[in-house]
Amino acid sequence: MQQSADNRSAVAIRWVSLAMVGITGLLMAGIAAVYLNLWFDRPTLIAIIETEILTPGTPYRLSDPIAAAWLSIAALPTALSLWGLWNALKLFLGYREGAVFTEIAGRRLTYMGIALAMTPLAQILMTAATSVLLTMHNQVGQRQLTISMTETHLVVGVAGAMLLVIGWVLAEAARLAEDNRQIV
Amino acid sequence: MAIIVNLDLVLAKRKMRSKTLAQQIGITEQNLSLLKSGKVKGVRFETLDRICRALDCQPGDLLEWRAGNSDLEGKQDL
Repeated sequence: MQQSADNRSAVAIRWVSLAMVGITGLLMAGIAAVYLNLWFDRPTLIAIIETEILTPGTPYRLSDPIAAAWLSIAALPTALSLWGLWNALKLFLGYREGAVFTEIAGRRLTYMGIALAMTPLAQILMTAATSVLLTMHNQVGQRQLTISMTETHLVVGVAGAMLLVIGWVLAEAARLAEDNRQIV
Repeated sequence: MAIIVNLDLVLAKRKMRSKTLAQQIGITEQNLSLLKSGKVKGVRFETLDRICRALDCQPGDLLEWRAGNSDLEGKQDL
């Protein structure tokens, strides 16, 4: 009876993991597509500048080199997000294969936590650097350094730190369990 | 590993098969095989007790220390 319940649970984990592999893969493709699209979509860049980076009415210059520099800086939080999701993808692929309680699963959770915790920080730095880039040609007094930190940044950062610790403990527990398996 | 497992020798002296010992002490043949080949990280006192009872021997008959090839030697130099 117990074994049957365990089997059902294992099968459910595999199916849910397969679904999560698909969702994570789509999310990765979406993030990459949005980022790549920004290189060719000047109106969206302007909308982001005027709503999220600079205070309304602030003059700025968006030349091709400045846009390229901005998008290069924006690659950092994008890469962090993709790295976190890549580890999530590998984690779910491992779950799909039945590797639920393993050291590598714990490490993947740790990497996801690092990515999640670092992404808000990278976004804050990107916003600050972009605001300086866009207004550096302005007259003194009209240059701007935007440091934008929202509640979401804090929540995501703390969630990432929690995931990091949980993954670390899981990896250590899995390593100890493996050690115990080698004691007869 | 500097610890040598002489379980094979004791089994041969007692004319007992691995399968029989595994059944008597309640571990799998696979684990007993790993123990015989020294490919385990440790042996529980409980397992050692059962083996000694089954084979009527002392732990010293089963385990032997030989100098060299120890994983710990490098660490002791530190």
